[in-house]
Amino acid sequence: MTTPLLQVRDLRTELEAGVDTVVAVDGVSFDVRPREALGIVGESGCGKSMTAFSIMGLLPPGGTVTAGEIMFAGQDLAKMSPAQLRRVRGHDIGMVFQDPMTALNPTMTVFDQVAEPLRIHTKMTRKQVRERVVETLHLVGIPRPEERMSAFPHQFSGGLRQRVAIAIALVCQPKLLIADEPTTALDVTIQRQILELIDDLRSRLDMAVILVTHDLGVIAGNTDRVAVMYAGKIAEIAQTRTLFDAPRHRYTGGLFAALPERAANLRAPLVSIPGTPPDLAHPPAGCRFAPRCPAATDECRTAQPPLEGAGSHQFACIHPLPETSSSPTKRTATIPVAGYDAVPLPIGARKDVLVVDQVRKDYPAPGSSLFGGKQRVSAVAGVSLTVAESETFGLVGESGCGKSTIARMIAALERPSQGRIEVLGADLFAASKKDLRRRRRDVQLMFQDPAASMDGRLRATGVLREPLTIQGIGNRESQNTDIATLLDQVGLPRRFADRYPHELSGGQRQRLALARALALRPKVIVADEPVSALDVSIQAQILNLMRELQREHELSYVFVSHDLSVVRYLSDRIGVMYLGKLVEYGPAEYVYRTPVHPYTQGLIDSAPTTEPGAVRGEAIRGQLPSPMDPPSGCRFRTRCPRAQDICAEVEPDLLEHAPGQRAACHFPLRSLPLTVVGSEGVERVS
Amino acid sequence: MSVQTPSRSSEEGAGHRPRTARDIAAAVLRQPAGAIGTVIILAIVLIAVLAPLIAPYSPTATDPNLVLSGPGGAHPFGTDDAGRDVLSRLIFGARPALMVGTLSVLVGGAVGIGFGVLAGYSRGAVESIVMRISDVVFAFPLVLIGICAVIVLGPGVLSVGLAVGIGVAPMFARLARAEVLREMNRDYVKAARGMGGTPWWIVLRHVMPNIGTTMIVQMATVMSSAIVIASALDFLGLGTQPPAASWGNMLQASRQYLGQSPVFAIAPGVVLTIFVLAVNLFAAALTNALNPRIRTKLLRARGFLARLRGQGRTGGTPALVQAESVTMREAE
Amino acid sequence: MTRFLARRGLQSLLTLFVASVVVFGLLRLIPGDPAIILAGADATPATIQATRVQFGLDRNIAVQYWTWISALFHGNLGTSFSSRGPVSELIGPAVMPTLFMVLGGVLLAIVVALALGIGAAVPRRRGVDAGLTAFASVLYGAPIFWLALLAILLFAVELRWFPVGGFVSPFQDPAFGLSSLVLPWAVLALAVGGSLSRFVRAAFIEELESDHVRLARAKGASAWRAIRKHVFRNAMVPVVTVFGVAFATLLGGAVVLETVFTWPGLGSLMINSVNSRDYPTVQVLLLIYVVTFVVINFLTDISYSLIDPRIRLSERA
Repeated sequence: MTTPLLQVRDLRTELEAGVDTVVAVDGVSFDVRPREALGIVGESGCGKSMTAFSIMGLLPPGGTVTAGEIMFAGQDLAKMSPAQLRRVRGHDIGMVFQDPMTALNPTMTVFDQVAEPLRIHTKMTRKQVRERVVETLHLVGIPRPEERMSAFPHQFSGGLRQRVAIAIALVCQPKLLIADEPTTALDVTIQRQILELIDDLRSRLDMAVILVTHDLGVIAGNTDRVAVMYAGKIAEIAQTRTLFDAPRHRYTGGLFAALPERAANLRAPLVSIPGTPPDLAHPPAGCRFAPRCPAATDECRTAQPPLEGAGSHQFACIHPLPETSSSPTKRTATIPVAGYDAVPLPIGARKDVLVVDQVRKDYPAPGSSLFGGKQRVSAVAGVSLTVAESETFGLVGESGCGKSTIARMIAALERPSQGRIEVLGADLFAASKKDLRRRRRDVQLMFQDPAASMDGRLRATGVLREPLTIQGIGNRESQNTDIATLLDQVGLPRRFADRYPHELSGGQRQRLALARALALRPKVIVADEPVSALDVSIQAQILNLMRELQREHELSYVFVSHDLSVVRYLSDRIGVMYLGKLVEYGPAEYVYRTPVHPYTQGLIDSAPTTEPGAVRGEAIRGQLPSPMDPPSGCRFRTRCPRAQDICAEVEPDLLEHAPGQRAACHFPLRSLPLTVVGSEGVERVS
Repeated sequence: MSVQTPSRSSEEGAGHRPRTARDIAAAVLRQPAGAIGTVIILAIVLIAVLAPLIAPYSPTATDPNLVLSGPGGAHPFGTDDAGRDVLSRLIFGARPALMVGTLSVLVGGAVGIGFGVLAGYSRGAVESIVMRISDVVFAFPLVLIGICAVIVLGPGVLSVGLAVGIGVAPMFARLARAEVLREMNRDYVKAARGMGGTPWWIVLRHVMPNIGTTMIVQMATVMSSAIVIASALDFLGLGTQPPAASWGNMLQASRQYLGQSPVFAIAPGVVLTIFVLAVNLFAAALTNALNPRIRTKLLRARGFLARLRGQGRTGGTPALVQAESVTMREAE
Repeated sequence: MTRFLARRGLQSLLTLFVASVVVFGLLRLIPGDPAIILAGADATPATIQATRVQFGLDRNIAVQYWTWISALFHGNLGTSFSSRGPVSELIGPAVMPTLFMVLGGVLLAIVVALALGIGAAVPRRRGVDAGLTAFASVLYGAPIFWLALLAILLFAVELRWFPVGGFVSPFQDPAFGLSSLVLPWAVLALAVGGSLSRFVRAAFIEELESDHVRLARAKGASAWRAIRKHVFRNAMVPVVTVFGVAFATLLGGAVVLETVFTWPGLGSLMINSVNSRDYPTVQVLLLIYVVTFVVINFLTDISYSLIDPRIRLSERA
């Protein structure tokens, strides 16, 4: 076994937060070997980022490493002087942060920022610096680096900015790269590009990587080993494949079980982990996960279980999951891949509650007011869809695709430039103002950020009362009853009524948001990324709740998200959008498993998946074109691996290429061998 | 399997929750800055109100024999250039300081906020007009506005008050507009519109209360500047005219007799500075108290809420996740 | 950027225009016959009539405005009531003293603001921060004219280090001239600088806690380098925007200080003219101040757009 590049032993980091001292990292030990990719995964507050910062010596004010050693290339980083540590940073260890927009200095050129580590650590001449910068930018995939490096960060797209950040970390060719949530702020297709880039660079530059993330899917495809952290300690550490096949620690098992992807029977509720992580200023004695663990015994609560195990798989659990394959992860293999004879019942049998007909939304382009004619950006360029009673329609796409704009129009927050939207058979925008107000009861909203979606000045009672008062429903007494009922329905204890939103946790706030959406007894709830801001275990709770409420109240959902696995879990039908157009839609399971449009396939492939050993197609190249000047013909053609000349000339219509599934593509694909005759009478086999 | 997490934060407790206004007052007083500021301001208000009762002499009573006498004896702060008791004039000087400072800011602020909200909500032409007018007013430093007012209306309290009011209005208009723009983009405003809320409802129920904090704080901050500017105008001879007493015109008179009666020059300035500092401290404390998050932290830190809720434990760091004592419905 | 500057330029011109109308219109707001006001309280009816014709008061108000403005542009600043001579002769000699005070005051105020603000923000020590912030709050809390009085009391009257007031041009008498400037400069610098230092401090703190500074440290930059290359330039952006407002305070403060220090500058001239009802002079002086202020603000906008490339280059590369 080769000597580890980095050896962390019993690392302990404390943060001063007001009067309390929080032990953010409590006795963490792990190794990183050369050229290895180690993932550190956990939910928010588990200490994974603090561990990374401790290694680099970049703790926030009030943070100190109080114990342990960090052996890197024979020296203990924890005991180094600041000057020595500075030498290591940027030169021997490079770091990439989460959000490239804030991590890059907006007033410095890209060249200066990438050159900076060279100027600090080396004595290269100007010419040499320039050469190395160009070389590195080229390496990370920035097109035409000599031209673009004199530009500023805001002139690049998100994906390119992150590439620049990676270039900065790599320019001195360090032996170790630490990436803290490097893809969280990016679109799914760009995420995949960046992760593949990091992987590629690892072998090219002979570098080890520590990948810190909360996303199990990112870990699955891009790491050799993974450490799962909980409440400041490592719960389990193993080879990635082993961990995913057979996790031992209960927390890890719980995390996997809570993933929407892993739900065996798609119509059963997700298994969620009850409760929330402990307060690290006053951690519990004994195993930190015990308060939430179904298998906890008294022994668990008194003493902390040590991290031990055979070989490279170690875990800190006294009552671990059994080693055999009865773990929840194995259930996924038994999902039958249905043939087309198992097409679900036509949805048309149920009444349509929402009809969107050829809707367009144009905005004047920014900065076009004074001089020149008004340019227009089509955020939504002709989209039609229907949603039936008790149905969930999932709307998926990346940034700029228009899904949020459609969501706003359905909720009548904005008027379509063209087209019609009907709710329960009535045209929303043809109605008089009074009528519209009345109709609003039928469509309600849920937002992504539970903190921002509620007025911080209102207590929970006020939040729930508002819709009732606006619509003039009942008097104070009946409203109080309604409020109590709503709280019950979403599982919030009645005494929370007096609380302010900021006194509730994220999951509780989202429940409150759901209660508010239900207050007017709508038929349709438009949910715009309702679980994206929540931890995985809380996501599961909310999704379960939504599903239950759907059954009880015969609700329909329009579920807008960028996260395919979540959308797939809850939706009956899925629509995929790209640059303002609907490129595919159909029954959820079929769109997910046998997509017709290449973009859908690309989305699915790019999404980090926890299916071990999944085979993935080609990544989607390039960047999103500017919405002000979309490509002619098929808008996706500039990034499509299958594009031909006709794609630039003729815009494809939404045709039914498979029963129930429509896609707008001249060269639709099949990912399973099928003998179904396509709409053009041509047999296609992939 | 249902799991019960032990209660950590104050869950159980007395049913009745204290009122918000009282919470805010308490939060202000819990901060050292707030306590000091409030005490001083109240003291000065009392002094102004009770001036005739407190002052040892009439502020305009002259005594030709005791011109510019130093501190001591019958006149603790000495006398001024006309033989009037400095202490009494100091006491009575609180009146114009308070009146002009507060009234002008309140009126100017209200007008400014009104226009600012109008501009922010209406956008378009209305917004442009309001903003351009505020630009023009901004182009005149406050002292110059005072001069303009004096030209038209002659010197006196009214001119100064009007000048300060006009001078601060655009500040409020700009701030109000910026805040309104920000509020209109918030998700909860979108939610309120989605519920069918009318523009009035949204402005009154969501926009105003949420910008209210910033506005109140701005008023408090501006008030301190207003008091200073008003005194400056008095000092220049444009405001309160002698024999009426104001701190500003006392300083003006003292200018020529710096060597002879330093107390005469120092005392009004000291009082002014203390007043201004008190207002600034109060404004800072009020900022914190009006923010619900910080307010909760302030009140909880001393066990205030916990006592009301029947518990003795202080909460942990709010930044970390709070534990729940609720059994989740779906826990199997 | 050009679009941004063009728009700001137009706005500035519009502001100037409206301001000039306001200055012009002030006189018309005074209750009473403008002709009598302009001619002076002791004028004979013949003079009043002559004044009426001279100022075109019997004509359309827009024409009156035009007459006045075009006269100004031609260098005819009007006739003073008090001196009966051209206004320009009153204003001319007053420019230099005011310029000395204001320019010196501005530069020193910037220095003080930077020193206090950076000194409070950068060391990241609560004690230092609290101390300097408290000091700054006393500086901007106290009325500037009182600070001036105190300064005179201590340094001029008691210690006799500096003259009590009056201006002597340093070109004529360097030693005495400079010493007469010390106190006004010190007071201006401390008062306005103290006020501005709050914003400097806030801007620096925000920068120091930003992600890109953390990245700079991750590159191995020393604290000093991080501040020099990363913090400073970015922090200057909000500070420059505030500078315009600070300049207004400075101008106002200078007017008051001229009275305290018996300075023969434009400020004193203004006060005296107001008191003696010399309206033509007052009008011209008001205009001078307003124009200066608007121009400075516009220059601030230019520099702001130069510093921040996000304004300068808004297109995607």
